[in-house]
Amino acid sequence: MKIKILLKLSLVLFAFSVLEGCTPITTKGEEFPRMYEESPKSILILPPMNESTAADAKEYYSTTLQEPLSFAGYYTLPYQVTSDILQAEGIYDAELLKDIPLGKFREYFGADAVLFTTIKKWDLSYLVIASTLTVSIDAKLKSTTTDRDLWVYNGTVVVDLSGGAGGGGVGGLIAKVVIAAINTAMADYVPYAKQANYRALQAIPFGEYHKQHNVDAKQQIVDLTPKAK
Amino acid sequence: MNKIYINIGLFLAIVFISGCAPKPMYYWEDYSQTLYHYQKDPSDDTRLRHFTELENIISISNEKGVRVPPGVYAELGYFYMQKNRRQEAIHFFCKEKSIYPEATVFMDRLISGHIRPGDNTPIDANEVDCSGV
Repeated sequence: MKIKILLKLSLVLFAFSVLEGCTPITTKGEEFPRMYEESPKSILILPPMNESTAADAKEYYSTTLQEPLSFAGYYTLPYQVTSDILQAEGIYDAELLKDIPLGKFREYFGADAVLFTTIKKWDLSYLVIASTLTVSIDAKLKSTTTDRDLWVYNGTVVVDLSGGAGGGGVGGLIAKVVIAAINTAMADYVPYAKQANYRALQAIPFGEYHKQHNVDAKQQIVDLTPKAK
Repeated sequence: MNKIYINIGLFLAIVFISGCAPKPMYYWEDYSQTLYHYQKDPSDDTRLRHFTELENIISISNEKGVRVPPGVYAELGYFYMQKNRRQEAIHFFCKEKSIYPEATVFMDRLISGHIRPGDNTPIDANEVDCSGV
């Protein structure tokens, strides 16, 4: 009898640990109240600043952002077009973007908010058992009407490059190593960059095209934003 | 013994109900891949592949009965604009703003010819007939 109760308890606990991951500290509404006040619809993704040592990081990062943002319910202006135009206007350096009044982005592109990102770290590590991609990002979504920070993310995501395929045991391990080797050889990190972006955007309040728009304020999230600003 | 199975079932149910992804809102297909290669190495080949992928996304979205993802029509229009095929370009810019009203400011700017590539003859975006796209 006792065993059954214990088993039940452990199953329930396990279920919660799987679902929650770590302890949620805050809710979306408490953390990002301005997102609910201003309810931005259209987002302009600006070319990221790359402070990492990887030359490709900028392209990997910027070309994999529209998809997760769209699934979060936002209208994203076409990055390929907007970055091309900015470049044609002489704004090819992310550093130059900082001097542009945010209202200009509203006027020119009709963007309610602009996404500034800095890639802090883009590290690949190849180990025998697990290869990982570590991405550290500072991101800031700023309002083009009030200049306020609407959403902020400073975090690190570690993506398992072995894809998590293959079960346990030695066979699984070998399979993993082989997959990791193939992956690194192909040097195609688009899916992993996308995964990193999906995870970074996990706590963003949903936009107008999402079913849970404006009703997710109570949703609990893991607090990842820096406190002192 | 049966209870254990019920409990396991319960556990799986909790995980599945909470973790199950809803029906996709969009079909982005290989968009990121082809865009990455085009950005990294802009050539006729990578351009064509990205262009083809945009058309593919549109046909799959229509087939599945979901909205074409944000920006896809606009990007396609921009390709035509770069090739000086303004009629097609305007058609796709109109499409973009018809499904995403948020795009209107930017699409009108592209339609009006205020932006560099291709034919720059000014057009009043308000006079372009976007109905029936």
